[in-house]
Amino acid sequence: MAENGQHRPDDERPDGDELDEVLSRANPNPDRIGCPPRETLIALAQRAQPIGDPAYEHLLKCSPCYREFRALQRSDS
Amino acid sequence: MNDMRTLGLLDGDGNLIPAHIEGVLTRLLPRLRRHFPILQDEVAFIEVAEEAGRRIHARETRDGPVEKLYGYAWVTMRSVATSRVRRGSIRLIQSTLDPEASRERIASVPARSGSPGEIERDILLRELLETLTPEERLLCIWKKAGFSSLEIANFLGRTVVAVDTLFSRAKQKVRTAMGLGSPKSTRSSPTPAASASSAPSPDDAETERRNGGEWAAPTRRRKAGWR
Repeated sequence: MAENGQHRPDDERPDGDELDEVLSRANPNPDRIGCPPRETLIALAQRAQPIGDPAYEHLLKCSPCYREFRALQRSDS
Repeated sequence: MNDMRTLGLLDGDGNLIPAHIEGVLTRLLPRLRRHFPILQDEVAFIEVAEEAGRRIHARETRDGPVEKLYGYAWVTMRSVATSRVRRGSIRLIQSTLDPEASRERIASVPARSGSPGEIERDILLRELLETLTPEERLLCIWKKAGFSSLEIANFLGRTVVAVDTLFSRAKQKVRTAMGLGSPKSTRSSPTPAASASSAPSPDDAETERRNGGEWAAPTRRRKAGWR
């Protein structure tokens, strides 16, 4: 099976599913503490980073980064 | 407040405080109001007067009549009022704007993160996210990143079925916490055989779409009235 295809939202809703809603808003992080550079987000969105990359964990703690990451995925698709 | 006799200040045993003490306290009440406007309501002033009356009565019972009752009563009253002002509830009143002023203040502050309702919802979403285990959260983000169940299973050293089940439960937890219906009636569970080969499943849309397969779940969900 092809593992490196382009990402798409996993729900028919244009803005994603419930998980998207939670991850997009749960951690406002207004001061952008611990945020990786945009290049890292791009790499995450393109699945260029390995699954064990700690930057994925940051997405769980920072909703702005998560939203940017998702937007990058959509722009890639 | 002009006729405190009708209120009947009581001592610690529930007996009326002697009239001569209550009379002095009554005369001192206007002064108390001027010195302690923060006490705000009449009940608070009466409670201060009553406590002062108890102390004075106890002192007279123990040591006999107070010589300079008026002055002694004022010092006692002031002491009681000061202690009361230092209490937490009064301090809260001190630091809280009245409704009109607070509305004006809120209206003048630029919003950084939306309305109060939106902020409240964000807090609820954070609490909701915290109901997931660290592993469930990571799994969710990996799925959103587009990793397949097989890739995740290989990384975690678990089976594909276990990964699918874990992801399914995590999503169900979120849906339940958000008050959404169970998707069980509209979605089929991945069969072990299908999962073992990492074939597309309704719970693994990323994988399925990458494989170019037709995914029927959205259609089923729309028919079922899902969002």
